[in-house]
Amino acid sequence: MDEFNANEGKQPLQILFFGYAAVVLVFVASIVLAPKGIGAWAPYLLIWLFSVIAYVAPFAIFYLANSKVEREHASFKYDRKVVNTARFGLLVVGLASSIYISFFLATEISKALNGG
Amino acid sequence: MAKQMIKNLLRKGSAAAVALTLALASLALGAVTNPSAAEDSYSFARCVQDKKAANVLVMMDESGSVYQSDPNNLRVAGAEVLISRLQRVADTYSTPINVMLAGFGDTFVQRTDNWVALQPKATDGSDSLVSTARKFAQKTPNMRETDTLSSLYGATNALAAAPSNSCKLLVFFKDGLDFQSFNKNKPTVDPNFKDIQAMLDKGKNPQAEAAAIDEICRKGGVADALRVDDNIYTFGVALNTNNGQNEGLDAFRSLIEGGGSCGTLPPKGKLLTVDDSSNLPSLFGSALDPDFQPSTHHGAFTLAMPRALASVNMLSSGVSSTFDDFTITLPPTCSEPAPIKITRGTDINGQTVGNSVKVTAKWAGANPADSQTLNVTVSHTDLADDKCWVGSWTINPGSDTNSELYFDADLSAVATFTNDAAVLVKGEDGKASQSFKLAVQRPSDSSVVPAGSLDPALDFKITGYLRNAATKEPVASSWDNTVVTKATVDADQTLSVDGLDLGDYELVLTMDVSVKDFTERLSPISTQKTIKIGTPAAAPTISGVTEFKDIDGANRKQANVTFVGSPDADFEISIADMKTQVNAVQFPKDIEYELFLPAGTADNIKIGKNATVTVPVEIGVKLEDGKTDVNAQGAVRGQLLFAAKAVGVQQDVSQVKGEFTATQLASANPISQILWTIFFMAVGIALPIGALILITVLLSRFPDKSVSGNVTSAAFNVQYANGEVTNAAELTSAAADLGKFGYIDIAEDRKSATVGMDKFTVKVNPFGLKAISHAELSNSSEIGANSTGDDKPYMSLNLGSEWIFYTGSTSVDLFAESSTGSGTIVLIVSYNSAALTAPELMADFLRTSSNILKKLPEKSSAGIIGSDSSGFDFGSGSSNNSGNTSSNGNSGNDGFVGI
Repeated sequence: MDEFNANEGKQPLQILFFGYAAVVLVFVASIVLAPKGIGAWAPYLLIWLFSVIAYVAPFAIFYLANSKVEREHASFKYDRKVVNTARFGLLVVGLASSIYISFFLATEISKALNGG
Repeated sequence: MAKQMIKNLLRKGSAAAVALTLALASLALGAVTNPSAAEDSYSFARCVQDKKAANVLVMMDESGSVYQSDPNNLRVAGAEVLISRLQRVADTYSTPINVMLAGFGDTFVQRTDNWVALQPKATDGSDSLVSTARKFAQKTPNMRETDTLSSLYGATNALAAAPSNSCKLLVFFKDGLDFQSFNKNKPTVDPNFKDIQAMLDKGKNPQAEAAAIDEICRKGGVADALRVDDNIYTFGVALNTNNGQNEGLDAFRSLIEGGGSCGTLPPKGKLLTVDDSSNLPSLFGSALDPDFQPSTHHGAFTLAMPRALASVNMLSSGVSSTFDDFTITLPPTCSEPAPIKITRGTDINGQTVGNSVKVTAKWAGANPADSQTLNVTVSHTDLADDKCWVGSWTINPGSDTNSELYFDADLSAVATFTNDAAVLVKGEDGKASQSFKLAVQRPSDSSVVPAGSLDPALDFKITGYLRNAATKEPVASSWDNTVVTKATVDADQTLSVDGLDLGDYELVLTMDVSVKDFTERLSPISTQKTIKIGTPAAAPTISGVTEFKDIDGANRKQANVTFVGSPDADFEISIADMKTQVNAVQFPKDIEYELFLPAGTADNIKIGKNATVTVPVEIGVKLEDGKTDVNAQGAVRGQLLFAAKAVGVQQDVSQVKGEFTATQLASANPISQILWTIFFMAVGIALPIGALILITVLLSRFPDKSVSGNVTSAAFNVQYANGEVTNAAELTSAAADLGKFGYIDIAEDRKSATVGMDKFTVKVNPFGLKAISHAELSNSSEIGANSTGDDKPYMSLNLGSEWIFYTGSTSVDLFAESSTGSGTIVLIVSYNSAALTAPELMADFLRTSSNILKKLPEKSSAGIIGSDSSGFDFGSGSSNNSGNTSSNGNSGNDGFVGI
């Protein structure tokens, strides 16, 4: 990062930050709300969808925004490794959260199917 | 006239069973020696008098056929008559009566805003209900189906939500022959019946209809859920029944009255059938006392009104549209001898005549101006002034009109127990008895009337019977043979039973009034009193059971039961005792429950005298042998029954009851659980990958004309030997010659660019974080470098100024220390920014050429053995701040420069 040139552009890292925050928020919401009862699969499906959007949307938006920065600031240089690690980390954390939620979603769907 | 006679015959025919019942009841008034012969007749007013709370749900058929079967909307008039009578009950017993109007069709649709209270002596509640009822005449979207399951399910839930000690009456009006019928095109069912909806979705309507009927009628189904409430009564009216001959009607009758295969709990209800809608007002009006047959008159009639009566209610139906002269002429002694004229469509709200008689008249129907139904109540408000009451009345409702008359003496017999404690203590011999007093009361003001002060012309008989409070089945008692008359009413009375189970019972007293020389039929007035048959030491009670909430598959679920100790003795609650059980009345199909103690809890829990003890208990599914999972789900409702044994007192083991609710969930299937988890995991992975591919594939291309129109390019042959460019001067000169440069040739799809003889095509690698999009030479065997530090002959998509050098890998001597041969240098010169010029680019190439040429043998060998640096490098992510040593203004080929 020693060659980072703040005058020519800036990584939209706040998008990744919001992504991490959204992932954590949805994860905590899934634990706090913990839908129960007949038809709990529906709210779980919604929570799971949010959990996926929480990391896919910031990831994609960051991708686009970052390339825009690079395009508009052709000589812009930055520590790509750090940014890539943060970007990859969001995918890993988001995916882990959504898999955790998908287990409960799968359980509720299984119950609904088993109960007719 | 003939038509009217036929109508009368039909009406009488439909009420044949009623007449038979009445005949039996009349016999019973003399002496009932066998309790099984005592018929329990329903009286809504009696229940209200005892419970002081009521909820009435009127569920009206809204399916399409009803508009043909009842074209004059007389069901609306019926609903209004019923509302009027409910208001009278509210007035008489000073008890608010909550009423809900709902539609029956595709599903249960509330037409009122929850329960509307009919407050005593007020009219706003009934006005609001009448206004809503009139909307039943209009078609609604709820008309496509006869979905009895969904509608009854909604009605049951609405009534279940009402207070448990309330008198609940479901008035269920149904038209047509079908008991359960789904729409052929777009069938729907309540979301709680998913398996049935699945059948409908597959077009299996006959199977779905059979499953729906099973869901209503099975043990623990909707019919049982409706019947389980001790205080609920169902009054059914069936129209258009094909003279009572059809399977649908049989099923409907079985649902309402029992006697068929619908429901397993004892039914509490009555069904009246009719094929002529003109009788609907009268039928609806009888919902509150369906076994009573009032006096009837056809056309004009006279009455010799005695002093002993307090009011008369006249329901005139079938008033001809050409007759507009409905009159009531009071006795000639009245100070206002002019007939009371009731003009069609104009109600009379409490008009006083001669200061002692009050008249209320309401035209019933969707359109009062065309109404054929008039409901008139005339009351004697000043008993001391009988000039306008006693004597000959003439009523002229029109020659074609049928009138039903309900006379009321405003008297009832009420049992008064000492300290109001109606408890019969069961001795060791199984017998129990208690004395009480009878009082004659005026229901209108609860005043006690001494027998001596009653009108001499009035006489009465009081009979009674005891019935089980839950099932309403009569049981044997001393009152099966007791008749109390006007002469003996002041004597002490005794209620004795022998061998009855402990529990709650109701003493029903019926006062049968007669007036000398008065030939009209008088309404018997009955009252009821809740009686408890208990042990010497009263059993503990349950003050509450916390909700079990979700019972997850075969897992047990815990709740707390709070016992309030007996005032007489210590008790022990035994979970192991046979009398401790779960009496579930609503539950998923084929599921039974049992009670357990949580692990580590000892049985025989002591409930000390007057102590309040909270006991944790568990409920669980009683699994069949070999089964480990539960394959059904749904609401669970019922009672927990606990065996309570008195400590140190010899008496029967009592059953202590507590209401509970829960929701049964099916077990999760481990295999489907895993498969679904994998599925959603895969979707979770596929979505970001898909997004990445979508973005890179769609957006990775060269810029449009606005950018590429300012970019030129040229390719030059590079000669080198021993690691040095040998035609450097020639290249420098060529780079300075603008004539050798032409605008870069970008393909229409912007996925490739041609420079000289070579074509650079966009290559997308969504997973490569450094080089996610760039253009490569079509000939993949070329090796080389570029000015962005890629060490490969890639062209950046942003078309910034850069150079690309390449040569064929086969032309490089792998074993040479440095390269000798020829290659190509491509210069891309952009005028879009202050980037490097062609000579500067060439100079940059020549400056770094020795390094590049030195690496060529190494690159050539790597190409031969298949080294590939592409692919996932999420974790490693190379940094581009080291390779771009030329500072040529191009940050690298990472990005969507072609957007």
